[in-house]
Amino acid sequence: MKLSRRKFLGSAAAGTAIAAAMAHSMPAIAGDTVAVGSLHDLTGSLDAFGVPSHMCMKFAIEEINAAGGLLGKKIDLKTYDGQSDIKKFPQYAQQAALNDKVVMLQGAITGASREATRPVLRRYKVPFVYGTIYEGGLCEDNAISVNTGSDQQAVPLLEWSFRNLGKKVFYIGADYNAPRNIGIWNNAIAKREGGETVGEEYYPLDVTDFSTAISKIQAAKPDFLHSCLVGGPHMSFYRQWAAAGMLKKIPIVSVVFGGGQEHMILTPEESDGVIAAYNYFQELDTPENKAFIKRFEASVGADHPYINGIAIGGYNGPMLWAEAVKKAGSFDRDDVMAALAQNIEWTGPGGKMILDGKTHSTQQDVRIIQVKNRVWSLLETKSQIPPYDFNGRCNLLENPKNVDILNPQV
Amino acid sequence: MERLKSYAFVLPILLLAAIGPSVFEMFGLVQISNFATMALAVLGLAFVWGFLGVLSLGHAAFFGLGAYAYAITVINLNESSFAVMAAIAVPALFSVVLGYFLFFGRVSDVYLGVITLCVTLVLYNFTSATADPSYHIGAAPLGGFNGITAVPQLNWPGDAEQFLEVETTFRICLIVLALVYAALVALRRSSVGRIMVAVRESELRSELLGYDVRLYKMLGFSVSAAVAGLAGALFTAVNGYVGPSAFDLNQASQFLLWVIAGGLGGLAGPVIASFVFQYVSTYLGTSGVNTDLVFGAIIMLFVLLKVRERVPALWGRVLQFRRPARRVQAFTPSARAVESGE
Amino acid sequence: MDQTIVLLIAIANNIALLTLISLGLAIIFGMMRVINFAHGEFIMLGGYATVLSANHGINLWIAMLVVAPLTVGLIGFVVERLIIRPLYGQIITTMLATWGLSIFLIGAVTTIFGNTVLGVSAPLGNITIGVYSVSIYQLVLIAITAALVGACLFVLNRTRWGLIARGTVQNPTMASAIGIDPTRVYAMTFMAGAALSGLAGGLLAPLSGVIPQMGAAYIARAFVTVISGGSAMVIGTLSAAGILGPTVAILSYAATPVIGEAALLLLAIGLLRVLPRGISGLWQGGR
Repeated sequence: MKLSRRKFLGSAAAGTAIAAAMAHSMPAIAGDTVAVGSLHDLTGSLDAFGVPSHMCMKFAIEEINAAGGLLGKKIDLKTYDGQSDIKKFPQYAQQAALNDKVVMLQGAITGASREATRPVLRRYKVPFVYGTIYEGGLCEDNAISVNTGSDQQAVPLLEWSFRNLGKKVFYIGADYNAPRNIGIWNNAIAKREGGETVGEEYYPLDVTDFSTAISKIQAAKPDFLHSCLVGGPHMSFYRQWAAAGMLKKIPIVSVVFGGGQEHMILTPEESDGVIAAYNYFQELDTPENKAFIKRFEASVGADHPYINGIAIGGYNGPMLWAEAVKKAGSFDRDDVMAALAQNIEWTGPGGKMILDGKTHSTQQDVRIIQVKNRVWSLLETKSQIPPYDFNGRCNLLENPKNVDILNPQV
Repeated sequence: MERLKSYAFVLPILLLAAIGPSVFEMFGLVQISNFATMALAVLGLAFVWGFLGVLSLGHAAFFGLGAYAYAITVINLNESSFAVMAAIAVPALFSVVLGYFLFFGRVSDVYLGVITLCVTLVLYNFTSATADPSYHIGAAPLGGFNGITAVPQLNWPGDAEQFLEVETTFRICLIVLALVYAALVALRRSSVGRIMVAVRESELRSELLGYDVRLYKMLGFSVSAAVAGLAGALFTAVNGYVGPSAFDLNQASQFLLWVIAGGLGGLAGPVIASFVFQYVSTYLGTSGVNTDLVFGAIIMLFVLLKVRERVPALWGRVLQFRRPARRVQAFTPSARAVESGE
Repeated sequence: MDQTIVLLIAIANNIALLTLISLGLAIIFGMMRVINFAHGEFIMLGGYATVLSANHGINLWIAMLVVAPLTVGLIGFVVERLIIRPLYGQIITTMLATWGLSIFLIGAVTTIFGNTVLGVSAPLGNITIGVYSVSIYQLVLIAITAALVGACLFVLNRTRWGLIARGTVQNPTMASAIGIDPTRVYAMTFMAGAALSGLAGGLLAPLSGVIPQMGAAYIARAFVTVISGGSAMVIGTLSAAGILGPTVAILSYAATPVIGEAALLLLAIGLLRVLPRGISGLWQGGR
């Protein structure tokens, strides 16, 4: 068969056009359904974060639909796999907004993917729900943050640590924006509590050998280690730390440990005793959470990834957004955001949550927890920690045009 | 007539540019614009590796530099035309410096490849480490790992407030792709291009004939850098975002592998391969399967079923009179191997 | 004094680490000029083999030293047969195929084992040196790597197999003329390289985060080390590790880790500029 190059290219172009046309002919908002997008990393190095978050979001949508839908319409969840590739995020955001015409998109685990996504969603007026814990600073009319900012986690955790573990802290973090911001909080709280930062080191994300780090920490002799190491390669630190016999000598506190399922991958000899702070942990012993876990496991089975403080954002996000939609009586972005002005209250598996109209962030309980034998247990609860308003700089009621990420000035 | 046949690939691209807005909806146009900017970038690598024999494993460095240059310039000057020019100039200048370092030091083959890889990784490490707000160039914060966001789109030259619509940007991306393709084909057919092919074929002979091999390599290197920089600018304009991921190993590998998949030595092949690979990768992300598993399997099957050899062989018969044959490959293709349809 | 000892250990550790992750790639690249993009994933598979067999009760040392290389060697055998052999001579196409393989392997491991798997802790405890304490296993690892390098050199230089391998590298046509089948040599070499990578993964498992994507952290460094080393497979790689490793260790300690990592790349650039054939270019006709 003689296949000339032009014919090949022509048929390829025609094939693409036909496929595209077919995709567009399916209505995104049919009469009785409305589309919502989930944009998480389901493959690649961030999959340990993305898969549980997406699972929780999917379950939330199921529950909303089972209760009769939202404003009388069923929600159709569109799933996008970011593949741990930041370049895919603006593309999928565009696809969700333009092609699938979603009325809300939740996702983006890392700050980088968040920053790549939100301008696109802002441009096309699709509300962006950010469900991950992060360093804080998101202050935008088109976005709402449903999980804790680091000020909500780091401040209570560090206060507790300086009062219970000692006054000298060594801070070690991954080298990107969030840990550096948390480092600012670390130094600020240290000063406030009369403590001292005896060392501060940042490691590129793909470093796997921490022998120099461990030596430096040993030489500095801190009372406790504040770790903001993130990701697979950085888990090597905890292995090497335990191998050097340090786990029993210097306690570790962290606002990110466990978020990447570290306690499931590390053995008890490598993780016992680490202290973290989140709004939520799967073993939380409250009636709301017990009921939630029961319903969740009825849907996905008992063999599911551990639901940690990051993943629960996948559940809380759609629920809080749904409350705003119900209050507004409409899916339109401006209506929904206007409904936030008087705050939205909702009680979830992690306790009472108040979505605040000034900061578009969420006030919630924060729990200090400790892991033993790969099971987390509660040390202390800090009730209803409000989101940080950056000394008044974040006030979307007065200044709705802000889109910059705010940095702490403490 | 044979001369015109070499430019034939321009036609489908221009056709797509013309009818695209009537056929595709907005998202389709944005997506194709996106893919086209990457295809433009890979043209640079296809040129410098396929024609000149320089294996640049760090082609992403030029792409990223152009992207960042565009972002920083357009945020500071509010005028995208200067930004695009900066995006071409910065990587080109960088490539001259790097090229001097490499070619005048007589580094070649896979060793040169590794140096270029290190260069792009250094840039990746550098840009990732600029998270502190004190890292900024004028009004543009470098943003570290988060990158630079909310980068303005292209605007009509001279009128900074008038942003181009999606359809216009779409057409510009495709027209630029077609023009650069045509320019590279023309360069290939010119005497400069023929000397470059001679350099690839045998450096020693070319030098003995009196040509300064180092200068020609540097020239080709700069051309590839300029093309990649332009692609970086367009990519940033379409997405409104640039970050260190433009420099990373993943990005560098993708350019490399699109050239291989499309056929080393050609220009149209890598362009088509880049579109196909990007489309498949994006589609798989919405399909619900494990993207890695399926994508990896597709690539292996693609190679093993020798799809690549069958199609270029037939292309060659129509346009450039190549005949298919299996040859032993080196990292830098010899003319014989290339024209045999590898 | 303690600090010096610990710093020396860190230096030795870095050299050993770079050597260990690069050996498999060095053998495959040195013998066949094949750039195996799936090299990181062979390391990952070795890690998984160790972790999974140890979790099922197999003694950790056997899991690391026997199960890991055997498993990955076998996988290497299959890969060589199905992917590498049909593409002999086409190094560039092989790059593409091994890239697809690397993505596929990550996807396969994730699909079969999920994205988190319980790892293994380092055995042997630790020793105290002044204010520092060092993992004994890390020291043992350095020793094992040295032994491994010695073993490779021994096999290559003193055994018949090594002689056949070196001969085939130097002149495959001549080798086949005297009755050696280069194809079989290449197949065995690929398996050996894969087994070495698997062994590296197994040995590193108690000290690293074993996840499906762990290979990505090693591939760039391994590649840079191997090429900087040049054509001499073992000595070249060891020399490159000997120069790059201490630099990273010292600079990470004295300055910041970001500078340490950047230094590795910049030093490699400088090295290759000065020695355009890699370190092995310093002596003629390397191994």
